[in-house]
Amino acid sequence: MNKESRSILHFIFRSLAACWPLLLLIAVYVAIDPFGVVFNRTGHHVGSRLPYNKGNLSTGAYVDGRVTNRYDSFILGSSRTIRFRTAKWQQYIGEESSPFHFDASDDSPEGIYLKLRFIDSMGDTIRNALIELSPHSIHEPFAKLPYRQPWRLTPAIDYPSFQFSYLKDFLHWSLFKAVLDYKMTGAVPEAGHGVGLLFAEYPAERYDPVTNEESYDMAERRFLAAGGKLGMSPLFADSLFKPSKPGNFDRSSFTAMKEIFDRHGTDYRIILGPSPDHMVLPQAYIDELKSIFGEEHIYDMSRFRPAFTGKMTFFDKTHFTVEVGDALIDSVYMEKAKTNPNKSKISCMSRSVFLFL
Amino acid sequence: MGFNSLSYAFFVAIVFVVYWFPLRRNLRLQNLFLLLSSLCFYSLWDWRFTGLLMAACLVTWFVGSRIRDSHFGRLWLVAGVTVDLAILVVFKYFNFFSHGLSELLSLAGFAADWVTIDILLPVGVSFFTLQSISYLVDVYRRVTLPSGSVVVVATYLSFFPQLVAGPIERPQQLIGQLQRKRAWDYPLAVEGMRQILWGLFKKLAVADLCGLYVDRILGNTGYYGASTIVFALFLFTFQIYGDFSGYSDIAIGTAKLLGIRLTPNFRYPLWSASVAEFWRRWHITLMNWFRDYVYIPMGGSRRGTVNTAVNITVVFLLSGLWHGASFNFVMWGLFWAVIMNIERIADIHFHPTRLFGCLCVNIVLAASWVLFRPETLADSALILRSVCRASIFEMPTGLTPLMTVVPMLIAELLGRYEEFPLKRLMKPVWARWLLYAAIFYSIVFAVDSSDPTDFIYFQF
Repeated sequence: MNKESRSILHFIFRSLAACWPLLLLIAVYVAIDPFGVVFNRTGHHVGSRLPYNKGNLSTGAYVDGRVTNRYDSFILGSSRTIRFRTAKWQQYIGEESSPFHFDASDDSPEGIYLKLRFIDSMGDTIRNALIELSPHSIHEPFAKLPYRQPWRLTPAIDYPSFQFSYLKDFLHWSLFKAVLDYKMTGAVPEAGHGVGLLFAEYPAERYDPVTNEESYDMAERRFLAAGGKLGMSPLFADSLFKPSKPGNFDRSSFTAMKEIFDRHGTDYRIILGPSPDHMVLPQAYIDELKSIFGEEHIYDMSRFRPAFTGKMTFFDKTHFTVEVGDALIDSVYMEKAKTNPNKSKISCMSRSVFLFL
Repeated sequence: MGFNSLSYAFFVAIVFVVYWFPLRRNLRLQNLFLLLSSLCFYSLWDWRFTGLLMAACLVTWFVGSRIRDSHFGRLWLVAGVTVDLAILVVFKYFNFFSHGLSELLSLAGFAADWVTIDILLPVGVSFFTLQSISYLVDVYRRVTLPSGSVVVVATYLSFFPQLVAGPIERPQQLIGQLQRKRAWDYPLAVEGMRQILWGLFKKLAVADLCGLYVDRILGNTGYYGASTIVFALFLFTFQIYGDFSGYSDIAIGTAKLLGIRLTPNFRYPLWSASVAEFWRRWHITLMNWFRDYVYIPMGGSRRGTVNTAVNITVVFLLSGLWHGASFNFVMWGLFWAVIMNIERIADIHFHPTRLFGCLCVNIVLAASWVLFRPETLADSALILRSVCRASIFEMPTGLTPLMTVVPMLIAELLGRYEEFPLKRLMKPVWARWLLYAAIFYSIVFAVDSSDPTDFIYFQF
């Protein structure tokens, strides 16, 4: 090799060596793994969860367990679905069914559809589906929070770009500083979305190894131990309800969901759940959902009035308690008579009584 | 593929390796490779206009050869320049004139939808057409010889570091280098890397950070006090300077990696003590182009005060129009023409001290952005009204960008005798590498890095 070539190579190596600040940053990121995605690649049991990797770990848990457990019944939707207990659900769908709970935050309609598409592509049957939509997440675009979505769901989210999107988000000064502070001093920033949400750590043992559902008792106790207060909204006066702002209605994702359900002959229920801020979907959107899925599959429970006078109905600012979750499942599945042409008058009456308590 | 993207870094790395390893002993192949890389670079920006660029290259080469070889050299020159101007006018100004005509006609009561066609603007058209005109005129004037090689001429026009936003190179400067063997120059390559780093700092840590605040403040003038709006105009100075000079540094640094020297485009213009000095230091290659191909042929400053004033006005009006097809840019050009003429005719010197002169120039510069930045004159008027309030005396908000602007200005002051501040650095290697690390981290953490913003001057 002549002198000129050696000089060019020397230049290249020195230039690469000059990238040591970047390599140092990447090394810090890998060592800390703030989002729990570098090492916690599959399965809840591998490590604890953070809001930023729950969707990814849930998908990993499904992939890991689908052959052994033969999942055929799925709970999907926003994080409010964590109050739907699979044991309660099985009272209606049958003990022989094998439920799986996809745990995601702020899941968009497209996110839900992509999970269904993924299950379909894996060759599993979707016998039952329970989906919760809220005014807060129904207009969420899928692309808004790409790093919260599992990397398997679309070809666009391949594994390298999935990891890279987390690395790029780590390189925000406020996040970087907060993570370093936390690791060095244990100081947790204020809870809530954004940086604070990063530190809402959910230990692995909180999740059921088969159904992937979260243990509610542990969650609520931890919340109360941290000084949180449960909200009480036992009665929702009609005047308090307000429609959410109009936004993008993802008709194509909903239509695609229906196509999958029709192909699998799925018994599915889509619940429009209650919210402590009394936000409800505008009637036009509810009608739109009914036109796509059929009235028998849509359950507008946003004005739901559970009979829990004096009891806590909401857990933190957005999630209802497990009692409300059980009551919602009871209410929705008592509507089963709707799909049966020989519906019972007693069933109808009992639902009406229940709702007006 | 913006200059501040990872894909550009990979692209340059590949070009660098191929350029210097297998091809360095064969000049023709090296130039051909540069041409193909440049066309590939352009097509990654917008493949639809690659044909236009290639056609412009072929026409320029052919006309250039006919100017010297034919008896009708002047006619060939006129034909070539007409083609270049036609490309510019059709793609850049058709919509401007047709919408203006349409509005005029509709005011007179005529429907004129047939004249309005939305034409896309090819990236870099304002730059490579000026370079083409430069080549043809210089060949005619016998300042430079026409190149017999279509590859050389095409590479001159399409050389990827300066293709989309300059510097606007003269043929004797760039074609001369393309026609000579380029030897590997280690110090030049190191200089190039440092210049790229400095350019990225100005673009990402200064311009983009200022841009966040400028967009927020000037987009919501009703919510901010007058002093904050004025401060945002100053921030826009740093934004556009950081953006454009940062891009130029990256372009020049990239060319140095390939052993080619491009013309500096900025020489610390924010430290100018007079308006005339400012325009000698800001977008140097464009202003030199207007000087050599418009101002001097019109007589320059040799035909009296009135003629000089007219020539200056024409140059700045054309400069304004070159920046964009809107009345705002025309008014911006007129603004500078008036200021330049006043300074010249009244023989005004802003500076009892140089620093005072710099402050005055920067105040005038900030005022000029009221015309340059908004899209319409109505928006400009809104900003002016927002400034004329009692809150002008309050402390402005949004001072965060100063944490990168001030270091940039200090670095420029300390390195003002060099082409760029990082050109000559301190001796201990560890100190230099610490400085590189500090600059790198300021680039990474200054702004949201998940969405690289385009360079402002790519729109021209």
